[in-house]
Amino acid sequence: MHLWALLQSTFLQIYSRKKAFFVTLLLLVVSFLVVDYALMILVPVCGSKAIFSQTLSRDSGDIYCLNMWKYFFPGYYAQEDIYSLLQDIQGLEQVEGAGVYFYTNTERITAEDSDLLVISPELLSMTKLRDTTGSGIDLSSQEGSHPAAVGYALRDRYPVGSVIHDIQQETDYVVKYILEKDCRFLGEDIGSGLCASLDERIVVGASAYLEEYMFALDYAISQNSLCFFVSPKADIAGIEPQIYQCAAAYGLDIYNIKSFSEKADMSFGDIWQEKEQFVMPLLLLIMAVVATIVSSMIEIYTRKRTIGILYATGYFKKDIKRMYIMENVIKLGIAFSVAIAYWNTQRDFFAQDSAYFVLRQVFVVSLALTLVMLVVGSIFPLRQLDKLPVAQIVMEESE
Amino acid sequence: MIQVNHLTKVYKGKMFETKALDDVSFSLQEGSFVAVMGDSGSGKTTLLNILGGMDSATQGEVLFFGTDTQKLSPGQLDKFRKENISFVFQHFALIDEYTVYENLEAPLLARNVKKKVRKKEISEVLKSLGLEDFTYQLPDQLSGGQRQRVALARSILCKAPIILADEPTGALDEGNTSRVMELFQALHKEGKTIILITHDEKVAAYAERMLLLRDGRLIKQSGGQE
Ligand SMILES: Nc1ncnc2c1ncn2[C@@H]1O[C@H](COP(=O)(O)OP(=O)(O)OP(=O)(O)O)[C@@H](O)[C@H]1O
Ligand SMILES: [Mg+2]
Repeated sequence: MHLWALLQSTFLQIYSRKKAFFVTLLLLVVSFLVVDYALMILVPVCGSKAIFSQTLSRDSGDIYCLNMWKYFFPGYYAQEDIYSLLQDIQGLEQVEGAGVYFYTNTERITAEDSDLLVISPELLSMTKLRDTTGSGIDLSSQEGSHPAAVGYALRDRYPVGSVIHDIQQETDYVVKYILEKDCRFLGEDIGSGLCASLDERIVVGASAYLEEYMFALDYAISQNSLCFFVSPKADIAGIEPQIYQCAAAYGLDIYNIKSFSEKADMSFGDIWQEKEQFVMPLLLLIMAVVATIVSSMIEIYTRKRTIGILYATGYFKKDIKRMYIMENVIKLGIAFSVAIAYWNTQRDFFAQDSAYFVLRQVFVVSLALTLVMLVVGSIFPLRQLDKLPVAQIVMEESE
Repeated sequence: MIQVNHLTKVYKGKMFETKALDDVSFSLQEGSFVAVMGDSGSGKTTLLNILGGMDSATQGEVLFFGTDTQKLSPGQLDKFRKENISFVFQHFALIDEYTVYENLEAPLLARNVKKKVRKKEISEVLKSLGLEDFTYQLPDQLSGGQRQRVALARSILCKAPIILADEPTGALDEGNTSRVMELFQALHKEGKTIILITHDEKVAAYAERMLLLRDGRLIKQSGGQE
């Protein structure tokens, strides 16, 4: 049969069982929404391990990050709590720069398409940013003047010495550095905002910014982007319990990147040690896959008679199989698209920039997963169809 | 030309064997209308299934224009069946979730017929069978006679030269039986080859030939030239 005729036959099949189709579709959409959410948790958790363990130039033993994955609904990040927590931690002795953050998020400062990236000067020193002249970069504010570093692509628009005005903050930044071409906070691209090229970005120091820039925190609260660190000279063993205590007071969870990155030299067994982070999403994933397979297998049974009749009217087994695959493609395609589209509209729950990267990763993983589900979800039913004695079913019709 | 030579079918059970067909031989001209009769269990359905390529023989040949269908590969057999044979069943075998129109669309889709042509052909056949009022009904909203006419319409749309019908009037009352049989007769006049199983003498009377089976053997042939 021609593809077009097959497609129309498939639609006829779907239409004739629209209720059943709708129910399985609903099941799939819900599964995909959940699976994508699970991925949004898993992907950055895995990703951040890689980022911090591989590319930070400085020993990361004293950096702590807020663990965001636990908050099941992304909107519920209790931003004020987090802000208060950071102030509390700042109050602790030996803690430096609480509330500084590795900032992957951007805020437009002009109508032009340049993005402003805010980064703590201390964290900046740990990165591999380079000026075109080869000098080190210092973005701390001095005497009311706030220095900025601009990306290579912007070197003509904002030459050294030019002033960039931030409308929202009523702040002026003076361009002090032109970044090297294709500069990145961290080295290799492992799909994170931290690894994106800074060519078209403007980087400013957070110290100037944070004083009155409360809303920056809203953006800081993106997955894995909120960090602070303890002085290397500090007695970490002594201070760590206090940090955890502060966090516990707000019901927030903090983890130490070092212990995290140690786990990043990970065997599968190690990952499994972290299972409370993985178990839920993985369970949901498996459930969704099983649901797809089972529902398509059940459909072969319930449609035995229809299959026999189609066979008797001139459809080959091959055609019927193709119709099955098409139906699965349609179902999974819709579920995949709806889920991705939904999470895309929820982007605001995450900080803009990192949300984009997380979503992009989730998109890729979710697409791969859809294909796997398509293959796995089709293999069993198609084998079942192969074994189905169609001629027998047709013959039974004559009894 | 259909030629059946020494056709034997043995069903092997665990305990014993059933000889459903026993050395059956006959031949039919293209365009003939044959009734197959016999008691229950005499092998009628078995014969029809083998003719239609749904079942295979234990021994013997079934030649359609010189090709032995018993020797075809499953794929070739499917193709042969699609091009040459359409079925009519006692219990209609309509897809319950499809409307009449969609049921009739199936054989046309299977043959890659374009939408416009499908529409035209279906409305023509429905009209000629007096079913145009039921176009968008579901099968269970129709009477048995109407359903069988829809099934017949479907087999017409298969455009196969040979129609195999297993007790097509078995579930119909007298009035509907004669209506359906008149349709078969009309198809016969158009040149279709029809092989029809029946228990009913009156139905058999529409055919020009009769084959009588008993315990898997062809014991009597009447009518026809051969
Ligand atoms: N799949 C099968 N397995 C075993 N035996 C079978 C099978 N199909 C038919 N038979 C046997 O073969 C014989 C002929 O059966 P068949 O169905 O051809 O009879 P029939 O003439 O069509 O009867 P009826 O008028 O009741 O439909 C019967 O004895 C039946 O029990
Ligand atoms: Mg029978």
